[in-house]
Amino acid sequence: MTSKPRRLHPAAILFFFNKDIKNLFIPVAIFAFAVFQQAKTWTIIGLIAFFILVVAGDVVRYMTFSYQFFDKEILVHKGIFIKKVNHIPYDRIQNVTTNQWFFLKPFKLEELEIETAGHSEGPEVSLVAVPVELKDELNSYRHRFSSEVTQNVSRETFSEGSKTKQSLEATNVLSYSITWRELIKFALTSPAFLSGLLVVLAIYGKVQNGISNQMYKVAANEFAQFGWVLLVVVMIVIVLLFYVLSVFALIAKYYHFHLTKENGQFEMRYGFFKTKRTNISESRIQAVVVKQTLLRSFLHISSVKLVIISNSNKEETEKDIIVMPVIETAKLNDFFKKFFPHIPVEELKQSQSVSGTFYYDLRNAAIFSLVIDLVVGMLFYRISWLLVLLLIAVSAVILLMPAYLNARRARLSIMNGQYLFLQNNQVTSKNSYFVPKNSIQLVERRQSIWLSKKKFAHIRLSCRSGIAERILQVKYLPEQQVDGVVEWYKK
Amino acid sequence: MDKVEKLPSSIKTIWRIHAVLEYVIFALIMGGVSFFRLVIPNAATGYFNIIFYTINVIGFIALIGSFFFVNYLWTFWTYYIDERQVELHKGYFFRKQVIIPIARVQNVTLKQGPILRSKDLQKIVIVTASGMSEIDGIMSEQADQLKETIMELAQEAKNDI
Repeated sequence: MTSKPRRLHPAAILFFFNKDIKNLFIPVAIFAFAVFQQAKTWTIIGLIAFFILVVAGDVVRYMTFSYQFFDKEILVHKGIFIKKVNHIPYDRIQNVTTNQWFFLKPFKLEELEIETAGHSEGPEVSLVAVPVELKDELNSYRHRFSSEVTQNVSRETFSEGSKTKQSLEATNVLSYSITWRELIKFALTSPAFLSGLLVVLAIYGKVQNGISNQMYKVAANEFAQFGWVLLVVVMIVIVLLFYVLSVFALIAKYYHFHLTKENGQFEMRYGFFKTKRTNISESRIQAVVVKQTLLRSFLHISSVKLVIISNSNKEETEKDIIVMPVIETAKLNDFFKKFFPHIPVEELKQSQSVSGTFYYDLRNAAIFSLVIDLVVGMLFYRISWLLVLLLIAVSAVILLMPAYLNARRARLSIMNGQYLFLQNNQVTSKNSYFVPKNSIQLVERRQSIWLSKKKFAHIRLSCRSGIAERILQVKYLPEQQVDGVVEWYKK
Repeated sequence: MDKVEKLPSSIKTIWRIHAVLEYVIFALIMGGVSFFRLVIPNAATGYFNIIFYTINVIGFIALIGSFFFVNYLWTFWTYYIDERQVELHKGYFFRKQVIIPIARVQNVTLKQGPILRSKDLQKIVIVTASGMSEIDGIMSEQADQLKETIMELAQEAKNDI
């Protein structure tokens, strides 16, 4: 069964236009600003011509863009001068995401993105405005294709051996939503606002140059009366404002987070203004991660994420797909049993941290901080001894605390023939990985001759995440744990 | 091929040639930099000379050092291939052991430049979904055989990406 070549919805032109304007606004504005004084009419004519050109380009882009479903693949045609035809076989699709802005809801339109394991930047296919039914159609094509294939070849999957179980589960739809309480806890404990604050400080630096000296003097006189107290208050208000904004942004982003699992397919749906639905097949999951920042570990909540292969470049910092933004730690086991039944969380035996690990991690951090202290001391001792002492204390806290957490959280254990549990620490946040053997691309064992005398070693696992490599590593573990994993991996 | 093997000893010559070539490039760059002396003020010439000669000396020491290092590298670089995995071992003071299951291999690239060709060696690049590992050079015949083995085994194993 083949479908006819189809176009996007005409609304796509608006999206193309929006994207073009976003990219071109700043250079064009600067250019227009520079020329405006010299030739007013020409600038205006130029701008109008430019505007028409962009619109025309987008209309042509819309006219030349089409997609078509075949039995085995999707075909996407695009390009004005250079014609591009992209073939995407169904069994190479990693995940499918749809984004729907609230204003598109009445028109039953959404954006559909298809990601593959390719190395292109951004999703392989992005259909900016298509009817909402298209996703189901795509899924039915994929489903038909995969059932044809599995009749001949049984695929080695994430859920190996549970094929029969899966068919039993086929009618069984699992779902989980986060509660308001959890969402609010999540939003309140997010450190995201700090990055926003940095941006503001950077802008402030630039604005400060722009503010005229006179105004600055007036303001400074005003300030002088209240002194620095007012300044501090203003700063705190700004920080709070940012905090509140980021809390609302996060709540809007993960609003009504709903996870369902059906036929070995996960679907995450969330968002207030922009509803995002991501579909990913269980067999495409590379690893499951439980992340916990320091603050959240005090509140006993954590996030569950999936390490997946994708070429989405939308969220550079958050490569992993969030499968559950927030969950109480106590509920984790049940969550895993429900959604990842083949990960034997019950069998997980966590070994205790060894004193040797603490010794090595703290020793390294101490040496490093002493070197810094020495340099700082030489530079600043003339200015103030107090400052030097303060810097020493700060460097000790900044370096030793993560080192202590590194040692305390270093864990490695074999769960069963298929799964490995690895836990490490990233500055102050705890990452626990559940990695299936299939998705470990290579294992590296490192050991210096001095460590081998003390029977300690490092381990690095290389996995694929996004379009790049992800190294999961734990340092200074007892040798027998590392060797056990190496043997397990070789089997 | 079921035993731990060393790289052929002719690879040492190749590493030495590489070291010399790198030094030649370094010397050419430094030669170019020395012309800056003509344009900088007289007062700074002293500092320039000190920095310039220090870098030169370090470069030369690095060249001599890498001649000795080649022996260390070769002695402790071994590999092992059987029907399930490729294993690479490197170093004595800092030991690295890499295990790549053949089922995870995406493709194998054989590379040969003029220097490697003169010794009848090939460089092997083993690519997995996440990255790549290299064996700097093994005998051409053996490389072809290895490629065959890996490709055969990789076809049997399922590609699950």
